[in-house]
Amino acid sequence: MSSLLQSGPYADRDDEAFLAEMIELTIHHARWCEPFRQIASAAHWNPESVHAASDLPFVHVGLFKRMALVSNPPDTNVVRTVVSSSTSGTSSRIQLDELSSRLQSASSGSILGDFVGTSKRPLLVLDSVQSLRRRDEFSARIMAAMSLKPFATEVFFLLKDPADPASLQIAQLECALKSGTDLLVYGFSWILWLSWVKANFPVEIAQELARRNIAYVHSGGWKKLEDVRVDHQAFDNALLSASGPGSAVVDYYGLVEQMGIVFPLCSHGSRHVPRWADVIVRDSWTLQPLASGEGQLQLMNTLSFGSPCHSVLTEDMGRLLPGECSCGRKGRRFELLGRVPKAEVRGCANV
Amino acid sequence: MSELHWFDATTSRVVVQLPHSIEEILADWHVIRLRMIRQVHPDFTRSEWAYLIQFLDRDRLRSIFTGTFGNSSAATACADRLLAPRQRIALWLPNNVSLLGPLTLILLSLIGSDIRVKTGSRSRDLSASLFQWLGRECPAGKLRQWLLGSLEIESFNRTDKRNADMALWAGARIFFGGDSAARAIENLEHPIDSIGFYFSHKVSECWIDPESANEATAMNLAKVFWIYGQAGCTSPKRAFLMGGTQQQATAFAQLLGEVWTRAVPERQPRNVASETFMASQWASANGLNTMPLGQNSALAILCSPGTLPLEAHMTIAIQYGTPDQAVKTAPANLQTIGHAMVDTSNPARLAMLSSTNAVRFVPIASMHDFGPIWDGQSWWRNLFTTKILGF
Repeated sequence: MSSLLQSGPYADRDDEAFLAEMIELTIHHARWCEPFRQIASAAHWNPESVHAASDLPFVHVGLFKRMALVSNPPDTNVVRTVVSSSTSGTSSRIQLDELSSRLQSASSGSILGDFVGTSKRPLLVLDSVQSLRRRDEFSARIMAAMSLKPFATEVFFLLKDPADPASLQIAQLECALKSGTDLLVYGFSWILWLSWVKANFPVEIAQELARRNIAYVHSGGWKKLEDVRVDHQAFDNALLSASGPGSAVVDYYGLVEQMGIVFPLCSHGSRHVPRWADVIVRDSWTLQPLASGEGQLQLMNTLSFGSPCHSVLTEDMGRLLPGECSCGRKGRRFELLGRVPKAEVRGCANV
Repeated sequence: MSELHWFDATTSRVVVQLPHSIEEILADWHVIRLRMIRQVHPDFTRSEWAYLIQFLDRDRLRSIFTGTFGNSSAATACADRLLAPRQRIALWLPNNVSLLGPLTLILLSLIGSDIRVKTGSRSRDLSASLFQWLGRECPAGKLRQWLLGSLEIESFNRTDKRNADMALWAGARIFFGGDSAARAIENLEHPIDSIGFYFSHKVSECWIDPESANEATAMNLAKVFWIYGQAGCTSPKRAFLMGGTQQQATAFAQLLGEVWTRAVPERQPRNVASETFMASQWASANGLNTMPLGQNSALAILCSPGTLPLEAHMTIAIQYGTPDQAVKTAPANLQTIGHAMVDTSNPARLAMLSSTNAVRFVPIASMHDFGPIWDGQSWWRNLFTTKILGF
């Protein structure tokens, strides 16, 4: 499945092939996931009347936190469940099957390779190795880190305690510095800030880092640390000023409900859509697709077979960007505008 | 200097001792009300502001006295009770409380006691906003004197030491909020002769006869529901068609959908619209039939009697069944039943009402009306101590 993966992520789009694969995938989920069938039926889903990707049914991202949405044909080989990092107290739980896992690895490798290059180097992960030791269940954070494994000669987990950004293990960092020249560093944005930028490295380590070509990849935003948030420019400057020539920072947007699809921010401020994915901006009230202006992002991909994550209405705001990007990548692109603003719920009950 | 006011109750005459003249304080509120008509406070929605204006109507405020003590009396002889308000009152308001804070404070202004208010630490506080505004707008007089001299509003969290200070200081504690927080306040050390009124988590619903399931009822239901959705203790979580059928419930849900855009003037914030859409999918995934109300403004969910398998801020269940089923599936913390019935005084209906825990049985349009009796407690009357007079 997904012949679209055979070309690079930002080659010319084939919207016809994309739509055909999406219809097949929707039929698959409607057959094997009863809640999705009910949702699609309520949306009057009929494969015959689909003319564009915007005609396909979609699932609100919040539903993955509230119920199990899994598509299990008899021959499914479930690999694991991936759990989102939660800011609301409830996590999404996404079932990952073998086929989807394979496709998603190929996808994220292809997309990230386009931004950080495909050469192999030591991968430094701002997480704990404990996070990998759970058999059936992975956090979204560790999954994001592991999406960079194809570019790693070796993986070093730098945190002793996954919940404590201050638990950086200098010995691990020293080992990584000995094992290669260029480095790849991954962390959630807030962890990268607290455990790397704000770390007091020993002088000799700091001097060594200042000579190395380091590709920093971060995602996940600031979660509950909105009060320490710094802007994009200050964030990049802080990282790059302590790194060697040729270093770069890649900030990508992704969801656990869209595994394998990441949207790195290009040097011209766009987030590009790979040819096996699509982005639609919808009006929050009418749910109609918007060609211009701000709305909620609907993310689609042709990679998700274990769970109906192939078409998800997010609670992230964005807008489509017109024309072609100066960075040279083709296809659709968009600007991410942050979360849907939370208006205070007033009342007098316990809500 | 205090003022004396007489009321003729059915069997007795009471004299109420206040630090001000009732008519003077009502006149001050009237001036404020006229200013409110000209200017909406930016922290309030238009509907909240309109509700406050309606609440401050001079006759309505006067009726708090007459409804509690009887008609005002020119005769000053033969009173057998002297009522005086407790001098110190502490009020706790939760984070998401909306108009209950301002409404309670307006009623407390009528008795002129010293008030300490604790508001939530996590939300924009309407009480402080309103009373700061009043401090600027209020004409010189008794009300202004009370606002500036007797009212203290502070914002802090539930672990703050000031909670204990307030409990120890007050002769009466008034609390709005969750059950566990209510217990925590009641467990604070307080004067032995003080009293407490605890208004904890409650829910409400509507009982509707199939004969009354018409456009006017749908309009009333839309108007009371959209203001707070599931977040209001007086906002209906469900509308129950008493003795109705699935077909009648479906027709009523459709009617609600039809009147919604006429009844509801504003669209919901984006996050509420998004959650409402999520709820529609959640309901569909559970095999439930739904009726969208407005553009993801709210959602009616058609189902048989019982608790919904989902929760979202702007969902209302439309249920049908026998009156017995309505009673059996009524929640234990039911506060208000809003009714649309052909014959509300039917003894059978009143008997049914008494077998629920509901403490208010009012027309649907009056469900949000706040007053001196709340959750079954005559809290405002009980802020007064009673002295027996014998002549």
